[in-house]
Amino acid sequence: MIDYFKKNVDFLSRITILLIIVAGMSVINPPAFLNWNNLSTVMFQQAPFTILMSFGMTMAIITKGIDKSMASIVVLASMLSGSYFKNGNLAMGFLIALAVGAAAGLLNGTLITRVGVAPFIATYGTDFIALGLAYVVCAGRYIYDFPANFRVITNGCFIPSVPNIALVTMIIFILLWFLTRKTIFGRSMYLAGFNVDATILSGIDAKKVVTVVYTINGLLAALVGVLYMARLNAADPNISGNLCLDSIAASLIGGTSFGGGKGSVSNAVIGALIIVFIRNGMNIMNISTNWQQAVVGFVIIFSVFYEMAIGRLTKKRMG
Amino acid sequence: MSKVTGWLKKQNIPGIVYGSVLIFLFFSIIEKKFFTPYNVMLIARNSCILLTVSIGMTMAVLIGQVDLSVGSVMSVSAVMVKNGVPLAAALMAAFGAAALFGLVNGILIAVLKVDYWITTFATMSIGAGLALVISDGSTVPISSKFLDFLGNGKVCGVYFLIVLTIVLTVLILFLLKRSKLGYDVYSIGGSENVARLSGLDVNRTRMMVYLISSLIAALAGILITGMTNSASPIVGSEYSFNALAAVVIGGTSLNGGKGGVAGTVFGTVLLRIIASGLAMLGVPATWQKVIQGLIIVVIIVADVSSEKKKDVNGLRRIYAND
Repeated sequence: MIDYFKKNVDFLSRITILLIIVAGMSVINPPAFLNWNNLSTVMFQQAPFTILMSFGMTMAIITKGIDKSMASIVVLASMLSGSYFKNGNLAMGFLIALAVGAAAGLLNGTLITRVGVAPFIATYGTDFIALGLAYVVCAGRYIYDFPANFRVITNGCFIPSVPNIALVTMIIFILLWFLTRKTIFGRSMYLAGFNVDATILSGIDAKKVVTVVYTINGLLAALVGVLYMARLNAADPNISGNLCLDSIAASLIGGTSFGGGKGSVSNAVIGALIIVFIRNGMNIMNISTNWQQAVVGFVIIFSVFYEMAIGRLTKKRMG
Repeated sequence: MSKVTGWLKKQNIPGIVYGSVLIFLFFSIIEKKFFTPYNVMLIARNSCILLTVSIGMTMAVLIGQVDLSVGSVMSVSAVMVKNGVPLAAALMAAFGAAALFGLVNGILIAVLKVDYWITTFATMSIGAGLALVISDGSTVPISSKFLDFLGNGKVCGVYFLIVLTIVLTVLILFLLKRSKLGYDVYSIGGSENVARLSGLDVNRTRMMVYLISSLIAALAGILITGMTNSASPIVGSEYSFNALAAVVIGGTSLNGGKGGVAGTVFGTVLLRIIASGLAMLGVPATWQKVIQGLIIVVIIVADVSSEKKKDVNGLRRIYAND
């Protein structure tokens, strides 16, 4: 038992941060925060999107990269597939959204691994182009008012009182957890982030692994695009807003190290919940939304310091 | 003719210069209104703000790093200018805030060894957020004769803004090529370890670079406030990426230690020539952004892969001598 605590001191401390934030909110304003309406909205309606985005961002950061383009892929995928969903052609819509995501992810992966562009710049470029294309496709006409059989994807309840979006997030979590923790691919991914030269020298095709990671990110982003569209009942190029910043902050505060090779999708869940609850808490305390972006920025700085402190602590233990 | 090409080769002019001239000629031929004194002046004037920011970014890229926060520092310093506040106080607040951003970046990156991407990305979002907080999210008109002169005034028929930018460019050019700081910047970019072993104060130089880059960004923010006669909290949001693009297009290698301000001038002008040309041809604004993005990505890819080729060729030379 104590061994378990010692081994997982980092992960457990992140859960403690989450609990402290939740407890703090409960003390500051119990009637507004601690009611089922607020909690279920946060957990089942807002958090899933941040969690899904953070999965991708976390995997990119584990490979010692970053994926700045995900938010724009969300927008582009939803803009391009919107009209098909609107006409009730769900299969075609999904196909197009996922194809867009895969293509953008593949572009990122190729630029990073084959050409050798720094991940931040490569994905920044994709971000710029994808968002630009989304505005071109949109051309000022928003698609809204989707048929009910499409909106069910997010809002319906396949299992009573659990919205489908939460269910989808759960399934993706299990899939990604298995993929990253129990397969050769997952092992290679961590290794590639930890030491890419050693990975290549030990006969693993690190370039392929990283390319696949960015492609998965693209697919995740496309999925988020479809789900978001169903939730908002509109396809609008302005929705990308906070998704990128939030998912980076969530990954880092969740315990994924920017140095690569460390972190996991369960860390991403904790991190995303921390960010979502911070935003919810600020709304409840009537803090102007203008503050939120700055606060999330401070969370990134804080998590970097936290990472250093925890690293020093565990190193001392080992020594 | 061969004399001319030989002379050109000796000058070691980056390929970007030829690129800018070619694209300028291309637009001049297909669009009559393009090559007119009015339009040339307009392009020069529109390049000024981006060039100012890009000069600071050039220094960060020269030490092998990046300063993504410049755009947000612009926004913060722009919203410091308010109507009720005396101009001198506002300017001091703007430069003070910028210095703070520069110091925070410098301390985190140089002293605490935090990754520069994540540090400047975080300060970028903090700055963008603080600009919204300070201005309460709204753009306000500014009526200041001094700022208006900075942005729109003319001296002997030339915009003062252009004169100011040229002076700043020459100043930084000399700083980089003729001063100790400049030499240090290039040697750290070339090889940090060698620089450290030869006794350079790497941390101090890094901090100076981020400080200068932030202060220059603040200047850009104030200039754009003068140019538009308004203080907007989102004025700088696109400048970080565009400045990075201008620097890389200008031939300053992202590995550091190679390139300089001269290339950045042409990188900036090239971006603005493309923008102006596309607008004149009647390309819709949404497409303009996509085309610019594509051009930027293609040039960055070309830059990175040519660097890689040079590295491989260098290795070949070493092995051939064995």
